[in-house]
Amino acid sequence: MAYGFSRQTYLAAGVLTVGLSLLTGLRAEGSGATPDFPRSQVSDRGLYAVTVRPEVIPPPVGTLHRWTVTVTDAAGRPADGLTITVSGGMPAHRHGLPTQPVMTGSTGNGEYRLDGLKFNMPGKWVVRLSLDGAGGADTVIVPFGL
Amino acid sequence: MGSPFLPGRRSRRIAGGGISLIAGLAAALTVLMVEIPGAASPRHAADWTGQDLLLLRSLSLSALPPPPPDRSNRVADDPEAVRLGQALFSDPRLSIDGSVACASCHRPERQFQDDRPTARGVGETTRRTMPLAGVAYAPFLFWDGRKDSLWSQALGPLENPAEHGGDRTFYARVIAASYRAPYERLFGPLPDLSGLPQRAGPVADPAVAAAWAALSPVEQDAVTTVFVNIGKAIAAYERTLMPVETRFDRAVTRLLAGQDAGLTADEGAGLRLFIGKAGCVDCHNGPLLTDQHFHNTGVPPALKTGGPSALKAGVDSDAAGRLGGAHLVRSDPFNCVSLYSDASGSDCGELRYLALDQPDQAGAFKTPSLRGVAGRPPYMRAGQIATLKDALAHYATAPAAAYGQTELRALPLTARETEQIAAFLKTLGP
Repeated sequence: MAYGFSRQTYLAAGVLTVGLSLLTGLRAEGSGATPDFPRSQVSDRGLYAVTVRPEVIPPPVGTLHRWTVTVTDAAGRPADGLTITVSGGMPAHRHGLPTQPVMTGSTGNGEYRLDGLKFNMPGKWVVRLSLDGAGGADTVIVPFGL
Repeated sequence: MGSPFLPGRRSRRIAGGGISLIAGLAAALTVLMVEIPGAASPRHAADWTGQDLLLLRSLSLSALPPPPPDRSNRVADDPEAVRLGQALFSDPRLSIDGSVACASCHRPERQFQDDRPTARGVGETTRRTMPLAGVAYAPFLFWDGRKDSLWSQALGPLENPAEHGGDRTFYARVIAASYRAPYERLFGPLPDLSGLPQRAGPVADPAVAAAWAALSPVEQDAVTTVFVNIGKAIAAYERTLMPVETRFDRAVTRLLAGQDAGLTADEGAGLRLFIGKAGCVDCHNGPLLTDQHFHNTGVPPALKTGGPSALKAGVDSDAAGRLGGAHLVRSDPFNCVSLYSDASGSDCGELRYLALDQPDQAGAFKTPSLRGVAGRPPYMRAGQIATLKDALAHYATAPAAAYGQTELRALPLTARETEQIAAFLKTLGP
């Protein structure tokens, strides 16, 4: 075998090909999708655009934490003076949120503090924000996975 | 025309190489098929994905942080309080007839529980004694979570007529008689009890309750303060009760180091079911294998019910579960925002953000830790389920709940899979 590839080389190439293809496949499964947060969404009736930002990303399991919510109206201006109530849960598990998060303040400029969020298990969660103010009442549903 | 090989030396070499390539692919595929999770017993590091290993690590003791501070208890981490608390924990003089200590039901040599379906103090109760390892991490105590600190929990059984059967004035006298010096070093001078009745407290016994009502607010506060401090010392001791390393923890350490887990084939398969198809990890997660929350799993009420003495305010009912417990903790005179708490307003997040009147709280009870579970049957809030296999059968069947709605869905587990999960659960002991 003075020139060209030896049998051993072909053997090694075969093993390497299969190995690499399976390895990249596993890694793709393990890496997960793009991060869920921060998340921007338009409310159901189109009245508001909402950006939610948990204070820890990804949200921790089992710990009380804060979400900051920034709201603009349909014209893109900061929406101040809103009341935001929080609900949600895990639809697949038929239970709601383990705590009652509360809007604890706003810093103006359409920014609001929601405290007391907690997610007690990994899986598919939904947080529902009900916004009410001069611009009208609307809802944003934020689904995400932990 | 029929020859599969091309003529010529170079062609023969390429063909020979092609056969080697095919052989290599076949060999690689064979090896990888054998090693793919599910096809073989998952004892080896290569059998678990990176995500699996992260999850396993999150269930192991190595992921347990130091206990969170208890800001409502200013002596929570004081070694002197721990010593006093340990003495009080095992002292049967803290009971009306001198026969019941905390340790009578929370038996230290039995994982701090009593192996009984329901606990027996001076009378019969309706609830299973809960083990105490890692109890410092629990934001709420009791099956319905009606207490939000270890110290306030300790006060419940002390004045419960079925458990210790005493009252706070009685206990203040025990401290004055037997623990004055260590008490006063921690908490300052005891009040003068000489003008007070032997027994007085807001308890079930009408005479004792009447004696309490007859005391002035100043006297009541003085006695209650001693009572609270008893709880705070006991709590300091209980905060030191930690889970021990188990075979599962050692297996995770080995897996993370790329070694063989050291589990049997059944144990490994059971672990895979636990974090996968059986969904146990949904609630039994974190290093204590509990989400510290409340779920309705449709466990039926026990046939035997406690006597009238057990059905007093402050003892949870099968119907209410967390629904009642949440209201009880919010109105508890010893909760995080109460006058007897050392916490400031910003500390009491669990109480401030307490969920109330949620439909999923009806018939919901606390997720117990699974550490040591195989060593302490029977199971559930009144010991209704005798063995681990029975518990798994309950989860497989997912019967409708007597109160509220069960979160369980029927699981198609084979008998073999049930055995495997039980085998894994046994690795949660030392």
